[in-house]
Amino acid sequence: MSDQLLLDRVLDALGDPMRRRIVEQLAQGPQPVGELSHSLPIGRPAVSRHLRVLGDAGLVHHNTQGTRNFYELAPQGRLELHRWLSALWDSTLGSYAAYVASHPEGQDRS
Amino acid sequence: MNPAPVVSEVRVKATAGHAFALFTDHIGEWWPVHSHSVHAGTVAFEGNELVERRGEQSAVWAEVTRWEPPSVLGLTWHAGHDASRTTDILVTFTQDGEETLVRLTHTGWERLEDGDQAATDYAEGWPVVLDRFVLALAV
Repeated sequence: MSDQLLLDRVLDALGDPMRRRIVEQLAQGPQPVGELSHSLPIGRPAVSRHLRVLGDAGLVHHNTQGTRNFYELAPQGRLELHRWLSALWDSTLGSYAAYVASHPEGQDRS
Repeated sequence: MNPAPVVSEVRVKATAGHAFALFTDHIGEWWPVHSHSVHAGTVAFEGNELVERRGEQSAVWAEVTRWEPPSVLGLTWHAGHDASRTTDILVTFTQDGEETLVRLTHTGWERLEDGDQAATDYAEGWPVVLDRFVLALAV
């Protein structure tokens, strides 16, 4: 998958408030889908669907321990987000640098 | 687990004092509001705050925590939502001959670890996605 496509998936996945709640829940540690659905106002099938979307975006993966399937946060989606925010600041500072270049000291700044 | 700071830097051909003045006093002239703002309005430092305005709408983006011209500008950062969830921005201006290195460091993600169960219905645009980013990065 291209970086851009993955990034789009990450942002789309986190665009849903319930999926953000799931990410916050998983931030406290790995959980099976049943426990997740107890702490959220939606049913287990809906939680599973959200987990699939988060998984496709590289934000969540699952881990089988015995007979239980635990979900936990995955690093890939987060790295993508980190790169994306860096790029946002780069473009902001790029705009600043262009402004400085066209406004040398001592010149009338009005 | 604390996520790594986001660091971005640029070199400009100016003294640190001039670079600091343009960054702060003239922020409304260079900030890319069309792509990176809440209301696509205008931004300016007003007293201790960085405020975006458009018509009667306004959004406080940041509070100044350090104002030490020509070398350091510190801000809390919460563009797009209330001040209960802030990250930190530190901008340093380091003069090197005829140039100044401007380095922006964005940290404080760990403070958001518990997330926010409150409003998620922010205005469309960059701060919204930033907010989403923060939630994910905060974990």
